This record gives sequence, C-alpha cells and structure tokens, in this order.
Amino acid sequence: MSLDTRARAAATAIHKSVDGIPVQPPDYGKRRRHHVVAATLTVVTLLVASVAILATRDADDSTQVAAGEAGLRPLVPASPPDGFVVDGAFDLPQPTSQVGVQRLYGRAAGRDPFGNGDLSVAAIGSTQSDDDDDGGDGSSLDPTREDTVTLADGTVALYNEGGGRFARSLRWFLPGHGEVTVSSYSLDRGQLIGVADSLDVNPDGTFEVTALPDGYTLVAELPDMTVVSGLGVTPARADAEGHVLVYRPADGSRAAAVTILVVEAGAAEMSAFRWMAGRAVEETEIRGRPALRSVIETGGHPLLHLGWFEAEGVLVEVSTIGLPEADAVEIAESLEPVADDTWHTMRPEFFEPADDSGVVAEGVTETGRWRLTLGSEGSLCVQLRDDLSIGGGCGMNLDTAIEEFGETHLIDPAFLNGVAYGRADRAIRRVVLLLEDGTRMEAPIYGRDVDTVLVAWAVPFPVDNPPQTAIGLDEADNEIARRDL
Amino acid sequence: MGRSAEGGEPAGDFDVFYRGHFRLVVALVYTLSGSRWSAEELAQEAFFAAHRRWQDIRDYDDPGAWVRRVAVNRAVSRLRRRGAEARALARYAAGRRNLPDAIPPLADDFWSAVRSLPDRQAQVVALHYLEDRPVADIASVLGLAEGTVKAHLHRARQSLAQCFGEAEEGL
Repeated sequence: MSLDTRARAAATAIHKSVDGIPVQPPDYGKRRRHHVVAATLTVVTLLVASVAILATRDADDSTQVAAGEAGLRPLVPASPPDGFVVDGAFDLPQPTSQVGVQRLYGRAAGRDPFGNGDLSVAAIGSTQSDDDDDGGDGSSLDPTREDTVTLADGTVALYNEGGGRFARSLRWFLPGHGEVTVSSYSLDRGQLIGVADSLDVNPDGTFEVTALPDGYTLVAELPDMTVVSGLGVTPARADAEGHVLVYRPADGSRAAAVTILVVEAGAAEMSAFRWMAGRAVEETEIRGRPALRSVIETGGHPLLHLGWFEAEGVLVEVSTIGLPEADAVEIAESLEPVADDTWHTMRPEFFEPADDSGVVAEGVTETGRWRLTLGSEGSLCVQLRDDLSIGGGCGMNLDTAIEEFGETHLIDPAFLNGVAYGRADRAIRRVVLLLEDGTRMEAPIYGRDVDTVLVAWAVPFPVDNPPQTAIGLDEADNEIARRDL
Repeated sequence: MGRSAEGGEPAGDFDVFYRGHFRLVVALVYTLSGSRWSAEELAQEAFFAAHRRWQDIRDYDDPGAWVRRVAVNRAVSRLRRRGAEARALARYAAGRRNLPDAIPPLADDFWSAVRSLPDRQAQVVALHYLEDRPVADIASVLGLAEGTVKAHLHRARQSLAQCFGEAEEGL
C-alpha cells in the first residue's frame, strides 16, 4: 500500500469516527472565561451523573461502623497502579460558589428505595445572588434545537437521553440562581417534563416538587452540597471536612484515573452515592465493611465506584476508570491512613519544561503557586499549581499563545488557568490590570529582552473577578498603552 | 482546495460556522492528540476562543484557519491535553460526553506514526491528508511560509515512508 493510499484511508477512518458527534453549538453565553466555564461544567455535569439505588435507612445505618480516631485521616493505597502518579491531593472543604440543593425521591422495592422508580432534583448555585453570565438566563437557548424542551412556562431546557448508561436529564438556567436539573433513570422524557413543569422554584433558589409520580417519597435531601472533583460522585456538604487523592497515568497515554475520597458524611450522602454511582449498584464488602459497588461499561473503559463507611460518619469512595476491577478492589483494600507530613508531600509538583527554559515569572496564589517559563526559542510554559492539581500549558509559542486570545499590541495579554500573562513594549515599565469589579491589580514585569519587547509580565487573578483591561504605564506612570481583554 | 466546511457558509454567523467546522476540527485534534477523550474537549476550547473574538474573526478571509491554528496548537500541548482529558472523563462519567468512534488499527497505526513526528511536521501532515489542504492553505493555517510547509511535509513523508517501508511519492 502506498503512503498516500494509507494516509487517505486513515483520513477517511477519522472522518467516519466523528460522524456521530453533535454539531449543535453550545450555549457559550455572553462573555465567559474558559476556565470558569470548564469548572462550572465539571461541577454541573458531575451533579447530573446519575443513577442508582439506595439501601433503606436501616441498611444505611448498618453500613456504619464504630468511629475511630483516624476516621478522617487521608487514606493512601499501599502502592499506586503501575505507571500512575499523583495528580491531585487536597483537603476538603474547598472554597466554592457552586453550592446547591439536591433531593432524591424513589419508589422502594424491598431494601432498594429506588427499586421501582427514582428521581433527582438539584438546584446548583442557589446561594449566588448576582446574576452573572456563567449560568446564563436561558434566553440564549435555541428552542428549535433537537435537544431542547420548552416547558409549560416557556422556559427552554436542555434534554439529555443519558446514552442508556446514565440518567435522562432536563436542565435549565435559573436567572440569578444558577441551574436546575431534573434527572431519572426510570422516568421517561414525558414524565421528566411533567416533574419539571410541577416544580415551584422560589426566589432564593429553593424548590418544591408539587406533583411527584405515584408512590414516590423523599429518600434523601442534601442542602448546601457541592461536588468534589475527580471521578468521585459523592456530594459533600460545603463545610464537610475530608481528603481527595487523584492518580493519573504518568505519561497521559491512556484515559484512566483513580480518585480516593474520604469525607464527613451520613446516610443522605450514602444515598446520593448509591443513586449517582450507577443503576447496577450491588452490595459487597470492602475492608471487612459493608460496601456498595457499581461498574459501568463505557466502551472498554470500565467506570467503577466503591463506597463504604470507614467509620461512623466517614464515607470513603474509591472510583476508577480504565482499570480492571481487581485493581480497584486491591487499591481499596490496601488503603492506609497517613500522617499530615506524608500527605503534604504527595501534592503534585510542577511539570518540568524543556531544559533550555528559564523561569521568567513566578508567585503564589491563595491556594498554591504559579510559574511562567520561557524557552530560548519562545516556547512558553505557564503553570498554576495548587493542592488540587497542576493547570496550565506548555509547548506553546508565545506569539501563538497570545494570538489565541488577542491581537498583537503593545501589551499582548493571554489567559491561562487564572494567570494573565503577556509581553510589553520596552517603553512600558508597569502593567496594571483592571478587574471586573473595578479594582486594580499590579502585574509585575519580569524583564527579558526579545528583540524590541520585554517578556513577560504575569500575574494570577481571581477567576471570579477576571481582568477586563490591561494598561501599560511608562516610567512616570503615564498611560501609554491600553488593551481591553 | 481543502476539504470544505460542511455547508460552505460565508461564516458570518457563529452558529453556522460552528456547525460547518466542528466535526472537522474534532477530527484534526483527534489525529494530533491521539485521544478520543480530549478531542472534542480541545475542539470546544478552540471554538470557545473563536466565540470570544467572533466580532473580529468573522471578517477574516478564512475563520476556519484561525480556529484550526488554535486547535492544532492545543492538540500537541501535553498539559492542555491532560487537562482536557480530565474534564472529558468527568463529563463522560456524567453521560454528557460524545466520543469519536474508535478507528480501525490500520488507521490508528498511521496516525500514531504521524504523532511520533515533530509537532510541526505532524500538524502539516494532518492538515494535508485529513483536510486535503494545499501547501498555501496549510501555510495560512499555521502561520508559516509556504517553503517551510513544503520542507516539513517533505521530511514528514520521508519519515512516514521509512516507517511503513514504502517509497515516498512526489508531492
């Protein structure tokens, strides 16, 4: 086979592989920052991740064991899976504005409160009082889109069938309060719309379901709940203490991950775990304790959740994707509490860029550190590291990176994971950022001559208060350049 | 002429632009990243960047070239891919993820070989074979001189031919 023939066939195969990808533009909203959107989507979508059963209250109580002093200590496996490294190690609670209320309803069958029917209603971000643009107001949703549903009051909601493995869901934006999601495995599209139409949402974001399906009762209510990142599905109270450990393949060569969550929780959270972990939840035993197990096949990448009470009021969840179940169970069985010193050394370190790179700017944030390095040929690496993970990007050319976000100018700004950075004309001695709330932030110049410009200036900014304008000042603090971001 | 966007629109409207180019960009990212998981995520990032600047980009001669440049640079960035995969995993776990289908081994072998090339060569090859783009188009997308693109393509084809034990054919 000739190279061209091989290449054309390979190209055809790729095009065929993406034929099923929907081409409906997402609701980007008015003017969002990519990192904010990503974070919001992750939180919201994890909340919608659905399913499951719940043992009766008696069964939940039976999964609790006597409390131990080490109950809330971080749990670490004897050894990580081969080729895996720590991708995140952080403590709960984490600061978040994504707090909401979730209620689970069901129609019981034996010990399973969802055995004859399930329903989740969640309102996320209900504590937010400002009507920012991250949730949108729903008015930008196109009601003619295939995946939208117009509710009785005219609200346009997005419908997701769930792909057979996950819950069907309807979600819509609530002006000023975030997003509401109604989801179920057992209810069909029409029934979900009926529930959505029966929902009375109060101005403060709380809600009442006025028309539950026959026989449904409240199984669990989780107020002030938030969602931990990683693969974990257990919602945590916003003030719950705990620890999260995430492993990923060191070389990123395959889609696999391990999340170990230890969190203060009770029967309601265990109910939520059971509902969200998958429809085929089974009872099992881990570490000699009653546990719940769920395996979802996702195209050769099994998604597995194990959950149990390690001590009274301490829920542990081990979730894996891309690993054999035996490996996941081995991880769970080998967990040991570690001391704080050991725990802190597990937090991820910066990815090391090319050898010829030099650190041109670095600093601290409220939760970690950031660093900007530049290679001799303009290769740029911006990293933001906190207890949760490393963010950022490497291997970009400064000019290219800047072009993604702004035209070449006296002050060339770009954003990456909460760091604004750029280059400036040599005449500029200071860069000041005007943030969304009107406050100012100094972005120090770390001077490095490249032709006629200085590289680079950089500063991390609060993701909920991003910069709107960059201003270049000369030696006498005269404004000589301004750029709207 | 390169493989045209689905619909061949004037790109004045972002939604039309998105519908016309999105799958093509996902395919491009898939070949360069090798990750079914992050392909759509990275493509979405590129379109989001385009959306932010749409008032400017819509007037470009080829807005599709701009979004491809962003996408191919993100596709070869290790850390970006890693972050995109993490987000994609979360969404997939939530049932909201659309993955490209797995491609046959023969095609996978070819694109794996492409990914083993230096980044620029891989990008040039992907645009050449996946989108049937001529050298001038590729130069426009990547912001390179045509001669540079020719050189990258020539070296890449030599490497690929050697990899598959085949004689390189002329451009």
